[in-house]
Amino acid sequence: MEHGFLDRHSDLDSPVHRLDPRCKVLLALALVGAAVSTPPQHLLAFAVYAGLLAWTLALARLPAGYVLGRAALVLPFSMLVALGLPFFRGGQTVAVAGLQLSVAGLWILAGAAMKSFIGALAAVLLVSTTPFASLLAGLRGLGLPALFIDLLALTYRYVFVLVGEAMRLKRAAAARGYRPRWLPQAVIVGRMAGSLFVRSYERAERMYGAMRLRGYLGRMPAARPLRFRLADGLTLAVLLPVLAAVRILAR
Amino acid sequence: MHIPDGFVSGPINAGAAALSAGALGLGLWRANRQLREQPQLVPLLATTAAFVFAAQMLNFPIGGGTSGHFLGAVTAAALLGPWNACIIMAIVLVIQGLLFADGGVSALGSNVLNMGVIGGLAGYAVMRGVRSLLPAGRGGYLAAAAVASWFSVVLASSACALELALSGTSPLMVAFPAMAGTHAIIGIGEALIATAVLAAVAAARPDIIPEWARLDGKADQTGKVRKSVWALAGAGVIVAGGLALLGSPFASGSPDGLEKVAADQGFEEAASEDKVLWTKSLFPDYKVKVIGSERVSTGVAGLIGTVAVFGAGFAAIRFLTGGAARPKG
Repeated sequence: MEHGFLDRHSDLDSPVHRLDPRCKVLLALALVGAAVSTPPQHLLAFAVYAGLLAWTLALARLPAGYVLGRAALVLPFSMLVALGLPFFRGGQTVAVAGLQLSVAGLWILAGAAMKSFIGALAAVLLVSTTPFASLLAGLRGLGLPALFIDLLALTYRYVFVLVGEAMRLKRAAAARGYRPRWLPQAVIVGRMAGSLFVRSYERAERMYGAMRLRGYLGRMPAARPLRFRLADGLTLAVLLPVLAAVRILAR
Repeated sequence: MHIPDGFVSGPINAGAAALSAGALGLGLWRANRQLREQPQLVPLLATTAAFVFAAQMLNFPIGGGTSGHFLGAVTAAALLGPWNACIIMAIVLVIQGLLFADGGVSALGSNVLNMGVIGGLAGYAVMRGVRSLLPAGRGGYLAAAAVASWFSVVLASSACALELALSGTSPLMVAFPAMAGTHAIIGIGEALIATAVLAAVAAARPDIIPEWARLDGKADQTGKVRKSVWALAGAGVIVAGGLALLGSPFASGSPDGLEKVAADQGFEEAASEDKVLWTKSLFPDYKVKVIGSERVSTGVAGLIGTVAVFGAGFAAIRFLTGGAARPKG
């Protein structure tokens, strides 16, 4: 897994990229919070949420296919969880292609699809317009514990390394003819994971040595201070009331 | 098991987030104290979180062409302690939620509750409990880790089903057998992997597992083992009986109907199209399990899982205790 794979496009330049990460995190949380709590019947409210996200996408000058495709990955899973609903909910039913489907169940299904897609879209837009390091600085600025932020930063750095090692182990096993077919063969995966853990542990020992040499005593030095500018204040001042109003009107 | 946005209702989400935040806060407070003595904990927790993330991408087969993946909560708890395991799972879930849109941002509280607090902390509690029933040696340690790993996966998925049901998203009679049943099988893989990881770590770096040196490899007395095996089996039968009693009314009802409808109406094809979409996804093997496992016939899966886990449990205990135990009727 190459570096820069996860927050691809976050180093571009656009009005959205330039916003303070704290501002973007707050807006994303507000939008997702409003969307998940809106009853699914209020399609107009969901149109507003989707419109705001589409506007952000256009302003951020991100490739639309990439962003929408990433966000759409959530849909098959949410559909599988919710697909049974139209059959199990009671109440008023509607006939679709010879099937009696529950109206309430269909609404829950539609709501789950819209909400999970909007949530995923908001997350993809957030990480595609904010380099992960800035995102962490923003989360720290919003009050998350320093240790948790340090751990997230280091984990993010080493996820690439360890995923790469895991993929090499997998390739090596496949090259030796490992084609697992039944459950007990999971033991092989366990041995692979065991060797992966020992490598990750020894890497942590080397990392600690290197960090110690550079003066590490249990806390990472602070990153560049964030600057909350007028544009950030204005964006929040306009969009938060809009979201609140939509959420209140869509009861 | 990663819940997306919009599946858990506000109050359930708030409650789950409060519990998760509390457990995580306590865990971070303890880690901060531990840090003063051993600052090397920071890189270790980070690489272990990266390890759990990477190990979750190693799929294992669960039969029928479907596959599951490792969770890692109990393994992390055995290696670094339960509170650190809770932190590790939370880190993994935050990165998965933010960067992969795998698990919704608003459902993070529920996901951390299921996989970090229940998977890690409760899983470790199970491990402690089972260890007290088993002989104190290394075989007992590994067997306890295996049993706890199975429970961590099944309990986490049951909690997930309960949250979906309480939110009105999915009726309990559908969600519970589907989740607990399939994860009863995935849990066997989890147990096998956890045991293999701990055994591999103990072989390569015995100093990593804090209590390994103190565990005795040979001195298990046969009588003691036999007694412990029966105690464990008794406890297991009681738990499984309880689960079966609770679960069977749900399992015998509608899921079969759903599957029949799905087959009649061609939804199964839709599901396989989903599968194609997933295999084209960024991580080819990352998610297929969810699609596949949901389609496993749920009630039957639970039954097979319960039977199989007893077989596997006995086999594991006999293997790990060097055949010292001979539970014979």
